Amino acid sequence: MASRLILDITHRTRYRFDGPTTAVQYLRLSPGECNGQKVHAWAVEAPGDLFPWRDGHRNLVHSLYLHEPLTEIELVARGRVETVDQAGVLGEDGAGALPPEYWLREGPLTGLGTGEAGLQMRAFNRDVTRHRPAQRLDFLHHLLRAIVDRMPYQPGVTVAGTTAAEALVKGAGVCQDHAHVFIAIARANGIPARYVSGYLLSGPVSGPQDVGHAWAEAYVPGLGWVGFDPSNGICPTASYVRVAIGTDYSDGCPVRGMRGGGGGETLAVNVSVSPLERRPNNPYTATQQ
Amino acid sequence: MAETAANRPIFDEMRGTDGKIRPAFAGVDQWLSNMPDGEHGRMQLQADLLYERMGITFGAYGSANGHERSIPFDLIPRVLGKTEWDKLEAGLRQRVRALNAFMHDAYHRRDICRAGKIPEAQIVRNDQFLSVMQDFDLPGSIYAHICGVDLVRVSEGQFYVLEDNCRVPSGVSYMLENREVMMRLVPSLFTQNRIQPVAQYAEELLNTLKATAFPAASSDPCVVLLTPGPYNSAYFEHAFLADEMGVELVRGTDLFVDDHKVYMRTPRGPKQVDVIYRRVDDVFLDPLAFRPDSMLGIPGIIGAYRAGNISLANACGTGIADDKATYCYVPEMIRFYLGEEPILQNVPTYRCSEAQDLLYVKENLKDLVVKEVHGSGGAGMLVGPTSTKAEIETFREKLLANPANFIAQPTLSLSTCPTFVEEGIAPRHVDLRPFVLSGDRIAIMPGGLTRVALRKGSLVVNSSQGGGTKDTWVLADH
Repeated sequence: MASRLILDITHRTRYRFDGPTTAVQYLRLSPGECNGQKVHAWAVEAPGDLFPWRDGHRNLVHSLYLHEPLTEIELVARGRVETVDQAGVLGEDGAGALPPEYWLREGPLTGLGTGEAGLQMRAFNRDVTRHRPAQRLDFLHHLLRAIVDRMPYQPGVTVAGTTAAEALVKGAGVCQDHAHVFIAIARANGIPARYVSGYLLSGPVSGPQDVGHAWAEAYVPGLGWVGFDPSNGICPTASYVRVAIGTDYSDGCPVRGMRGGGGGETLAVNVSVSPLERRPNNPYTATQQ
Repeated sequence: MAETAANRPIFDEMRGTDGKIRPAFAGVDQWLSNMPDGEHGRMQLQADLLYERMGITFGAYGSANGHERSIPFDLIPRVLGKTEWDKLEAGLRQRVRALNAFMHDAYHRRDICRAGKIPEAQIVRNDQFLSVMQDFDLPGSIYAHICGVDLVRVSEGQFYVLEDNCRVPSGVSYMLENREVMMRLVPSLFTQNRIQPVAQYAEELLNTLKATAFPAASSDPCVVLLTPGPYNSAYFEHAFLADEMGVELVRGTDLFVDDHKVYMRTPRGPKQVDVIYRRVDDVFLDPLAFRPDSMLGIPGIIGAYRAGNISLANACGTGIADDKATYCYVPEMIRFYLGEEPILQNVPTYRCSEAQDLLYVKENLKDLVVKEVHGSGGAGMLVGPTSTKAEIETFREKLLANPANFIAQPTLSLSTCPTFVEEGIAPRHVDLRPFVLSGDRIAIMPGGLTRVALRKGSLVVNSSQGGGTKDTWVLADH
């Protein structure tokens, strides 16, 4: 596995509306610097001026205000990021950041749930904690495998607003759902966890992918924050680019917006991640998205 | 340890404990003793008519006949002498300074946690803690620009703080209207007694709001009052205060964000807004940052806020300071941030999240008042001494199902004040909510809102639970 990569990324998001609409959006489309990640160049394009600010999670956010009605919004984020394999270990956030305890709070999509879904989540929690390894790190790896087994990757089963418990009941989902279940179970066991949205170089031949990627980070005393990608059953490698964090998809997602009018909407997301440099002996990790 | 109902006689604001008229009430006593038979009934009727004409209402959620009603107003004022008020005022200033210092710290380094005074989890795991406020610098580091502090009295010299209201405290319009009605009905009382005025509140509020504007704002900042609309229980107050300040009363749809700034739609085109006195709760302010289904807020406003282009009063996330679980730590905050001893005392509070406290609370439910940590308006609480055995048992189950959700306090013997009731004049329990304004300086109106429990023996004074109000006098002497 390559221990260092330079990745060229292009992330296109296109909304098409049946009629003209106004919109206000918060874009979390700009990767930051962190352990094992350096941004060489990055730019976001939109059909209007972008206004940068930082949210409380230290994500770089752009506000986009579209008060002149449009029938299409195209957002393009692109740039070059250098990554180093850290075996998923990100380390501490540093002074002034939100402390690990903050990340024990439930997000709207990461509770254990209520009703039938809640019962199934709790049963799943009992299953994975039954033979719980004593070490937190071992338990998190155990949880990672349990999620892959329990809910295989399958697009189209869930939607953006599906909660962790709802996805578990469906027995399938996409990276977002896997991350949500991982986060919900980790927090239920007193382990701080958070949602990460980002990109993943997924094949030996560069080419377009369908969507961006998402995974989870959990806090392990001594190591700090450690990434876990339940969709692929591994910890992030140099193939992963972190963009934004949140309590769950609701505040960590790439685009959150509101529009006025416009009727129906179609959304097309296209991500391409290609390595600028690749060592010849790079065995790639098989992934689904 | 607090003086509880069981071990202390009830203090009467007018007569003290020894039955002698207290000096501050001399004028009121004289007025009452000279009043002809039946006169108070006639005046009460007049007062009620005035209130109806002025349209002073309170929307009581779930009330049977329509959603608005007048708050019962009682003619007999509650009076505070200058000396006792001066001490209260000093205590309020101190408390609000500490609360604001705490909120700044809670959203920055959390030094108070590092110093071991408050567990960090208590702050960052609190639902009221909003991550959008982390590392965000506010003008003057002020969070609760308007703070309503609920006080009760148990003896001549002892007031307790029951609760700090740092989110969107209401009730100040009743303080102002009560004074207005009293001055119209009994002008002679105001010539015979040296009563400190409260009418400057709206002007002070506007000054405070202007002082909270970010440096980028214009030199005469544009202030608006944001209301959720007529279905909100305090809508009357929103309209009243906007009118008194001479600022626009707006709803979310009247505002929009563009260029990272907030604008108000006007017939003459968009006008930039610098300060919003918002009477809308945090989670409804921005559907892009909080509840996506909120129709009351302004999409994009949190981005403009963090960019320093709009001030919100009160700031977002102030709920971390007035939470009933955080309340117990306020004396610590005063010592930690100000290096002073608290002038106003807290009611001793048991945190049911702690095993020792829970054990005591469980065994003494019949003597305690138990409150939900996030409850408000007197809902979801148990008043042990006035509850039946069955009510206590039902509550016990609720408590044990989620102990961390409750705190408990001894039942205080709240002071009483003479009040007109059907059978004549009788003592009824009162509390007091003074309003503290923090801008470039702290301004406190002499007095506040006195709420009175109209049912005999009742300790529940909340407007939402059928309480009434009284004019509150602070004399210029005594």
